[in-house]
Amino acid sequence: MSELTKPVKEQESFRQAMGWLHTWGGLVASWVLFTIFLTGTIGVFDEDITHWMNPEAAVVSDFDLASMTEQRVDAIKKGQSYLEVNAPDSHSWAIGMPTETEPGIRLFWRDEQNEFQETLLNLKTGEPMSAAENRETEGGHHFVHMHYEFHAGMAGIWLVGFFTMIMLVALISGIIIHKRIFKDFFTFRQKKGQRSWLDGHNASAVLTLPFQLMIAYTGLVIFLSIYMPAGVLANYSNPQQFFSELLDEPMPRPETGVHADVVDLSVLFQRAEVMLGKSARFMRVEHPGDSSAVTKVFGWFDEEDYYGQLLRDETGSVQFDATNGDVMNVIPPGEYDKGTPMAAQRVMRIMHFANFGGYSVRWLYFVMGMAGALMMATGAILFMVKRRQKSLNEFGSQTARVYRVIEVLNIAAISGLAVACISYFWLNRWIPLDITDRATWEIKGFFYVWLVMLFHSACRPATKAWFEQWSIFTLLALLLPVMNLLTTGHWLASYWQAGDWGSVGFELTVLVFGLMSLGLVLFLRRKMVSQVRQPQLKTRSEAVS
Amino acid sequence: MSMAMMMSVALCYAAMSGFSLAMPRHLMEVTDRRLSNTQIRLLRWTASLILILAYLPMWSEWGAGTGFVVWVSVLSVTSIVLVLLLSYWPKWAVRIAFLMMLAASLLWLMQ
Amino acid sequence: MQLPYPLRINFLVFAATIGGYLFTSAAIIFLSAIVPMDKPDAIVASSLFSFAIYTAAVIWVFVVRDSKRAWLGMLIPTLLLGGAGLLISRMAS
Repeated sequence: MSELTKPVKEQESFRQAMGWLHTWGGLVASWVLFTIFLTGTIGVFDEDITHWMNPEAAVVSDFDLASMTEQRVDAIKKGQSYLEVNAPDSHSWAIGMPTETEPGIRLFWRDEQNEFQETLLNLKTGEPMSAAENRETEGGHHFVHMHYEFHAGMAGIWLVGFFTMIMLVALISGIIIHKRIFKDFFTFRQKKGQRSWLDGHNASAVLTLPFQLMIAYTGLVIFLSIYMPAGVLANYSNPQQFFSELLDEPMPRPETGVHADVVDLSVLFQRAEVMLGKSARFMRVEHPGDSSAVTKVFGWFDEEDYYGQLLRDETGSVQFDATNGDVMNVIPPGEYDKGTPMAAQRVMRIMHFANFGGYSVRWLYFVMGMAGALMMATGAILFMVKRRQKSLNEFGSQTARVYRVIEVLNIAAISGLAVACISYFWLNRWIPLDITDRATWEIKGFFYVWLVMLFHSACRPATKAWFEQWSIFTLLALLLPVMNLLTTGHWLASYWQAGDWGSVGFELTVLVFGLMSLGLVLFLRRKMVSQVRQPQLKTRSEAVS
Repeated sequence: MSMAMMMSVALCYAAMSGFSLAMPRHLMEVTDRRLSNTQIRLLRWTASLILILAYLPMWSEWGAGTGFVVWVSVLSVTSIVLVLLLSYWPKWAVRIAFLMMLAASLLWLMQ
Repeated sequence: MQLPYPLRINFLVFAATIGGYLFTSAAIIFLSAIVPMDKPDAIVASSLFSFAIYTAAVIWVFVVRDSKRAWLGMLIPTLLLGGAGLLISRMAS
């Protein structure tokens, strides 16, 4: 470490500096980045996971809502009357049509305290759906939220952005220090200790390098206006002005405090459908009850309709004055026409979201995302493997203690997170259906399990901690289908018979991960046995652990 | 998985295994034969050609831009599979490469 | 004068993160002033490059490995680019 600021004149000094940057930047970011990658990769299949996690939900895809005008108008009516009674003084309302995974009228609102609320209404009765019709769960969206904000709102978004920047720097410096990218392109030497870890780290990165660069950069670009506001701040006193010019939309109207009733939203919804020439799927109202109220109706979006489009067509939207029904703005469906820079940003967003090419693209992203997670994990482990052989004494007398902390964090971040993720599915089946805030409890449970894994890794010697946590994961993963059969009566064969390929895929994938983990457990067991046989080979840092 | 996707997967895998066999280190694990420099060059050129061929079905199915993204993704994923096979079952890595070429030709004939 | 090592490293890290961010922001302001597009488009276009600029700035700081030079290397261009960018924007409008 101390070589960094030495005035070195050798040819290798540039590479040394990049090596320092890669090692320490990579280490500090690896735990967070592993979390971002693992949850993001699982999140590729968020809809299928949500579907598996909500076995009570009736299958709405039986009737095609996109082609049933009456049903949609009725849903808006029911949504509006519920919101008028239960959330009259909200800052905003939104009513969404049912989806395959959420088979009710989806209501969202920001209450008087600006807190986000949501509920699902039964399509027929207009009452909130009971636990028997709909299991209250965040489903696969939990992973997506972990992926971009750690359930921490704006602070989380900034944190993810910060670490993604480190990832970009680590990728570039990693390419610079890798002397044999092409010579070692296909190389993975197994059972060679440190060599194998390095090969694994290199191979997972090099083979998927275009993806890793793309996914990091496009991830940052999604929140461009949050991360890089300089250009807007320097040119506009009011950022809203910028967005309204950029998107060619009217400025949002500030609240007036003067009361005005919201008109019948279902009428506006129908008018919007006629103007767009297609079904609509979502409706939002800003400041309902205020004279500044504005509503926007969004056109129907079906992934299949935009198959293969990186520059996705507009789904269309119409904006009304919600107090008198005057049209304020129309974006017709069809070709995206907001200029080249916005088109470029749109392409990058769509490349990141992995929903432009159906299941084949999702699986490709899933494998490459897992390779990314593997790159983080092997990098973090390699750091310790190198130093377990021979301490590099970077922190003087504190070195052993710092190593121990790094090791504990490695275990908690990698196997601990894996256990937390699989536990989340068990919690979904075990938490009683009728408790309040059930969805929140599932997520809390996820974090509690993770915390327990952190304590566990801090209390146990490193190899034993790895072994035990992967054993837990193996058991939870391989027994998941059994547990599902016992709690819901569904299993692979019944899903298969029902043609529920999403759930079949989910359980098979969990089983595959369980088997891979089993392999890891057996590997660790051999390692533990050989450690017991040759205690004299223990190095100092291991003696501490 | 569409026909175009299968075609591209087969060709990408075959091309990448061609590149790997052009390296003495990986060839050694599969056979005792040594390739002359001309043979190595020929292998590399053939592999490059197959790699470009693998892009064509993607292009026709997805268009140039999306096709390129999917092609690079298929390339990455098949390379991961190849590296694992080369490491654990090197002989099978090559056998599968021949099977993939065969499958690609059959798919092409079926079209 | 030679500061203790941990302090020097921290200065360098701050030069890369904070200095680099300031430099990137200034570069966006400058680029969005000179790119021949409508203002909102120019801002989006130049912001799209920001993360590449930021990455390059961070790498540069660690190549220099001298916190004083690194900070100067970030701040002087920040002032020049930012000032020039603001000036051009104001004159154009």
